[in-house]
Amino acid sequence: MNPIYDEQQVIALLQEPFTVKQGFEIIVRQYSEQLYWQIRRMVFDHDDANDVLQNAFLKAWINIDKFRGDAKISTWLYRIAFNECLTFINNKKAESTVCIDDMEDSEVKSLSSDSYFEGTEAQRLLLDAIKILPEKQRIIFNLKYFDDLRYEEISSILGVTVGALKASYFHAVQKIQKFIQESL
Amino acid sequence: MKEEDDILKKCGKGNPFTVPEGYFEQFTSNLMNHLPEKQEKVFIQTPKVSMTVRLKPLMYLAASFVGLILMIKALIFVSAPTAHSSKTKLSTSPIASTAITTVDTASEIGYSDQELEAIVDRSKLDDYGVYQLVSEQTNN
Repeated sequence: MNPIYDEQQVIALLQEPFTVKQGFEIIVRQYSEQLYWQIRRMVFDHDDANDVLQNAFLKAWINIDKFRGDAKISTWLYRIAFNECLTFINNKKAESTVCIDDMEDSEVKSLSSDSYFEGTEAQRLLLDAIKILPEKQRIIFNLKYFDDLRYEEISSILGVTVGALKASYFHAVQKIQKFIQESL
Repeated sequence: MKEEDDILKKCGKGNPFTVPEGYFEQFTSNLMNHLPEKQEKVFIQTPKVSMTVRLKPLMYLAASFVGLILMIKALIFVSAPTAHSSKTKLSTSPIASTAITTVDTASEIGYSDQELEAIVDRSKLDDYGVYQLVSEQTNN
């Protein structure tokens, strides 16, 4: 992250054709790490997360002219990143030749054998529980549980009402708790 | 929420994932080196067109319509029945026919309107007679 980051200054850079690339490099440096972890918690694998992150920034670059500065840059980037996550997951489901019943098992095994996973058994159990959530509910749970974002902030990112978010998070927590209890 | 607290106690919020060494440091430069070039937008300035130039086609259209209407009116006027041709359809009223004959003869000779008016007066046509004369000519 840049030590001195001025959002208004960056927006001004993004809006001029001669400084747009300079402004874009600043936001990549500023947001790449936090976006990576959001994506990684969705797709679990490092290589997949790297692909999705690059695609997200590429999409942001292509559509930089459409960014009007009416939302925060982070909100705009999060939206793009989550859309790329959902596209990636749906494409992976469509391409997978593994039977649906075996799909969860294969994901669990891949997490255990992942060299970029160094969590405890309890953390692996939590991730297994998160995997059973529908993708959009997974995003809501991750943003609320791990990042402790307010519902209003999540609402601005996902375009979902606060009421719907609260209901979704409540059901996600119930499902995860039930999964963990049954696994222990 | 009680269930959330349970999960927190058992699993915590720690990040179990890791990344290859130097991944984030290299990510920005790797991405920027592979960004496609932005296509420059070319603004083509359309030349300003004056109001006169814009209205010219409409003016030509209006003029053609006026010309067409005048032509139609001229055709109607030419083909419309004249005072001379109505001679064959004169009223049978003796006074009217006498008046018509007198007036037609006078106009043929080339009398002016004022002179013709005097002739009409001398033909002793009263207002009713004039009315009768005119309406009979119109019907014919």
